[in-house]
Amino acid sequence: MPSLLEYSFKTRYFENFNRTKCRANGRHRLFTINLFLVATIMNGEKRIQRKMHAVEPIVNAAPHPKRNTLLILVNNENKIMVNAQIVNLAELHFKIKTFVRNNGDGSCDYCFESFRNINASDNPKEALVALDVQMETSYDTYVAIQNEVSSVFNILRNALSIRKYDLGFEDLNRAQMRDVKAKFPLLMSENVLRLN
Amino acid sequence: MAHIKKKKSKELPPVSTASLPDIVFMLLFFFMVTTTMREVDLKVELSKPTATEMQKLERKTLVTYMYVGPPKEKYAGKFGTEARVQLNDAFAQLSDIQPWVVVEREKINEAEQNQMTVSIKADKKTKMGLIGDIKLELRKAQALKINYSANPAGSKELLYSSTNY
Repeated sequence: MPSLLEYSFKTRYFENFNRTKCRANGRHRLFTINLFLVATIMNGEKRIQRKMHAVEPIVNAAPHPKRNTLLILVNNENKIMVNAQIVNLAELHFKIKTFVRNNGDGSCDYCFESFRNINASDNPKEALVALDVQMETSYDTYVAIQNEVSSVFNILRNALSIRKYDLGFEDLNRAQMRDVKAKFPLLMSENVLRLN
Repeated sequence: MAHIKKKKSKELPPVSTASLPDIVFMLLFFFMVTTTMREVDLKVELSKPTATEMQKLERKTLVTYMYVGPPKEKYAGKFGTEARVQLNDAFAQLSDIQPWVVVEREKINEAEQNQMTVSIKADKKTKMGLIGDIKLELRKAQALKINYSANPAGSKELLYSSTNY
C-alpha cells in the first residue's frame, strides 16, 4: 500500500468534520488570489535617473569650449554619430569614456597619466556630453545612449572610489559619495533638433 | 470462536486535500512578496526599452508617474494611434503637464517637495520629438528630477546584440 493512501485513511475523519467550513474558506482564498493577480504586476521598478536644468534666460552667452564638448548626434534612422563617424553602442561607450577621463590640461590629479591626450578634453570636471537627437529618433535609442553615459560614469566613479576609499561607489557614505561625484560630474546637454 | 471481520470498503478512498490550504497560502505569500502594486489603469501600450545601468527607486512617495505611448486598441478609435501622454487615469495634452505637476507636488509633504521625481514610462517606439516637448514642459514646471523607466537587460552583451545601432 502506498503511504499516501494510508495517510488519507487517517485524516479522512477530520476532513469530513471540517469539510463545509473548508469549502467556504476556499472560495474566499480564491477571491483573495484573484484580487492580487489583478492589482499587482511582477517586475519591480528600475530606472535611469537624470536631473535637468530649469528654463532660464541665457545670461552668459559664451558657449562651452569645443574641445571640452563631446557631441553625439542621432538622426531619424537611429544612427549614432560621434566626431563625424557612425558608431555602435560599444564604440560609443569607449568614446565617452576616453573623452571624460582625459586630463588634457594636467589639472586632474586622480586621472591616469597613461590615458592622457593633450589635444583632447581638459579634465573630467569640464567634460560635457552633448546629445542632439532628431524629431523622429526613437526613445529606445535615446535610452540606450543615456544608458551608455550612465555606464561610463558608474565605471569611472566606482574605480575612483575603490582607489581612494577602498570601497565600491555604492558603499560610500554621503560625504564620500558627494566627493567622488564632484570629481566626475555628469554634465549633459540635450537638444531635440527641429530641422530635417 | 466468532471471527469478526472488519468491513472494508472496496472503493479507493479520495486523495487527501488537507494540505491544500498550505499550498494555496504558500502561493499567496509568494505572490505577495514578489509583486508590486499597479499605480494606475494603463491606457497606452507600453513596451519599455531595455537598459543595464539602473537604480532602484529610493523613496516611492516622492515619485509621480507619467505614461507615454500609443493608445491601446480599445481607445484607438477615439484617440488615434499616435503616441500620447497619460497622466493619472486619463489622456492629456502637453499643456496639461504643468498644472498636473503642481497638483502632484501638493501631495508630497512640504519639506520634500523639491525632491519630487517624475518617472517617465514611455513606449520604446515613441518619437523623441514628443519626449523633448514633455521634458521642456516639465522643466517649465520646475520638475527637474526625472527618470526613464526601463526593463533590465541581463548583460551588456545581450543589450548590444539586441539592438541594431
